Amino acid sequence: MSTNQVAPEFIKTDLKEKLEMPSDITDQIDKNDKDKVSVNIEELIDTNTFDQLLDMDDDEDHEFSYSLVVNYFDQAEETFKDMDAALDKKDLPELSRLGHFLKGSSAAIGLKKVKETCEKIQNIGNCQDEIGLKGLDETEAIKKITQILPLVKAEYSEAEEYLKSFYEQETR
Amino acid sequence: MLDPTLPDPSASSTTIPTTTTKTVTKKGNQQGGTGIPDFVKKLFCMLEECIYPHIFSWSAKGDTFVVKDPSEFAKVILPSHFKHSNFSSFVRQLNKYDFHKVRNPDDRRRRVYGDQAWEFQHPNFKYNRKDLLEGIKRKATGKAAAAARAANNNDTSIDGSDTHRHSNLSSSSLSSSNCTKNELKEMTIKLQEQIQKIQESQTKMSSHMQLCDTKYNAIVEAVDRFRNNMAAQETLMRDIMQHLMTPITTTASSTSNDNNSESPPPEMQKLLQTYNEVSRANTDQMNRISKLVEHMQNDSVITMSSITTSATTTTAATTIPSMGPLAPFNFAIHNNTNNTPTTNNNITTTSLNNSHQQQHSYMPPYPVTTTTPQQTSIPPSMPLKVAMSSPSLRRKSNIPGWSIPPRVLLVDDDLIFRRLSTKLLQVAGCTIDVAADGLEAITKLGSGSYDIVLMDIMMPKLDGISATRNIRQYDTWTPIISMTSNTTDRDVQEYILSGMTDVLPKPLDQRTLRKLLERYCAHLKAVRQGYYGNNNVIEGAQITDIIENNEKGKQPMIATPPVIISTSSFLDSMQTDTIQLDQHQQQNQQQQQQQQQQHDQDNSNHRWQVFVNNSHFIPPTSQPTGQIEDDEVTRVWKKAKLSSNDD
Repeated sequence: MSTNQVAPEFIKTDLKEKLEMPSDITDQIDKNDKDKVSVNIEELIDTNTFDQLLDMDDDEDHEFSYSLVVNYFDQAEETFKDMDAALDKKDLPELSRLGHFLKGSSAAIGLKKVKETCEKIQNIGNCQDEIGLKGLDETEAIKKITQILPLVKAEYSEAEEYLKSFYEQETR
Repeated sequence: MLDPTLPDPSASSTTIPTTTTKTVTKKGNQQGGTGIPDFVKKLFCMLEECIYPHIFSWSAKGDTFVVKDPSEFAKVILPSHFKHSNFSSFVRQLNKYDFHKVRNPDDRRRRVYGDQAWEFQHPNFKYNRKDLLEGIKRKATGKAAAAARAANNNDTSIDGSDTHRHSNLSSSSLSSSNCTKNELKEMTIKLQEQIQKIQESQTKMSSHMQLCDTKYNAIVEAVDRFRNNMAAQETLMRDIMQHLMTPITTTASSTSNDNNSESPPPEMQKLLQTYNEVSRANTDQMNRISKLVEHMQNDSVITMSSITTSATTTTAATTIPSMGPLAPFNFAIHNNTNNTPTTNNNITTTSLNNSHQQQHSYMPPYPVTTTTPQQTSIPPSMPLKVAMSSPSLRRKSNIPGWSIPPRVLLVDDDLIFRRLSTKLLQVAGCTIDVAADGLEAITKLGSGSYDIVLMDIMMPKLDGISATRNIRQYDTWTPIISMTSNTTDRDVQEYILSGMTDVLPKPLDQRTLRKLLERYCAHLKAVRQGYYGNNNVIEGAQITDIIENNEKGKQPMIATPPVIISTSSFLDSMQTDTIQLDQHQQQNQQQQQQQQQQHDQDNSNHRWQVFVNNSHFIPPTSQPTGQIEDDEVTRVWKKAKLSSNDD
């Protein structure tokens, strides 16, 4: 299933090709996309938290924060694997726990989107719907998580990209 | 310098015999100057005798004479009158007397006298004109005599031709040596002037530096005083807050018995909040000040080092970069023998000692020595110096409060969160221990005691709530703070019921963490400030002891020879500060040990307070200050306690 984020761009590029839109219009579209991207960063990262993390670096090469971020990458990937396994086993409590777990560390770094999605997973795993109210049955829950898991992975990749490029810039 | 017309003894005497003649002639010339030269006389006589007219005779006119046969002349006539038989010598002689050879291409004469004939002419050499002979003077002789006489005037020695030449030479060399002497003299004078100018400018510079130093010291003092004032204000505010808190909480607790929440009523909260904000602002300000001062000192160190690198040995200079923030203190250029630093900071000691030794052995053109001592304020600057001793220390001590860093137990299963929180807590000045789950937390609490526990809720093996319940069975005093992202009212209630003291939402925010620490580790601050009765006295005494010791520790500097570079006064203060810093560190350690003991003591007080809070009794004023008598509330409480004990 294509996620919401992927769809528009895919459609856009398709449209562009199909309609053979004149270049100035495509430029406009591209520009809009760029603006969207920059806005997306704000949605992606909670600057307060992340800045606080950076503040704790003793010096300019961000040793501490970068190592923390790397730890996070490792942890997230482990967790995703575990999540996949748990989903296969239809182990909802495990999924919930994993969701909670990753939620915590994502929040610590300041990755807003990932954290929110993890919270959803946590709640759904607890047979609560996305805002925490009880009422889901197990099959529904599994279905939902199956939908959400790729989403969270995509969000994570996005965040990973951003962070990696950020540190690359910083340590240049 | 040689006069080419000078009589060259070697040149003038072609053959030895004639030398004497010449010299005699010269002498004659010198002495008289008007007598007829002998040569000329002889010549005249020869011509008068006219023995061999076919060889040598007057010319027809009588104004010249002719040598018709030079070879015969040389063979026969010359030897009889002169001591040689060399015609060319004869001719040379004639030339010297200004006789000129007649080269008249007069065929008649020539033919008359023959092809070989030599005819010589002199205006004063005429037939039967003896009277004119006096006019014949030696050419070279005249000039030479004149030159010699001129030269003789410069010299004292008048002893023949040799001395003339030599005297001239020596006079020239003397004058040349005179020249070089003069030149050298001038040069030395110039150099001396330059040196003097340099010295003057140096004294000016040093006096200017002294001025700068005094100004700078004044500024530092002012900053320290300011900082002190801020700290004092801080403590005052805290005291006020403490005083305020207890009556209000008593009233609050009395009015709301079923109020489960641990947090004091909203007004109290507000007050606390504002107070905490203000204190935080204070600390920030002090941080900034400390940073600024450190920068200033670092800069001055740099400038000093650049100025005095010429004067100091490299050892002292190289200790600077290696010491980092400690640099200002280690950069001691002193000539003090008395101020042997009593430090337990080895590096400081070695560097200071090094500089001492170096100073003693070093005989510089710029004696870097100290002037009269400057009693810069030390006690106020002490905390500042302590603050700047190292970055981590600075953080700790700039937070007004931790005399002992709070010991925190952090319980969380997430490595990233643990790392992050550890760092945050370190920045806040705590020592941290970690546990990965509830079981580990229980174990750790069993073996050690902590000032505060930060407990995650969702954990494997044993979750936070269960762990807390377990812990509370035997430990009711340690504040256990739950960390969670679930902060609904219901959740909070659950936490409190299990025995948790407070709730800290995840993700951790530095400010909230600080607030929390300040609240629950207040006793660690309070101890230092001497809020508690007896402890106050001891603490105060200790602190004053430190101050007094440091005052005494400042021994008078030996007034030493005048300073050329005198960043000395500043350096003096630096060195004394170093000493005091080290002493203070020593004291600090002792203090800490003592405080540790008191800490445990205070723990019991605090435990009581917390327990009381938990059990919703009316808490007493935590410890009698000695000034506050048992007030009404306390009396009521005591009654209640007694009655509860009876139950």
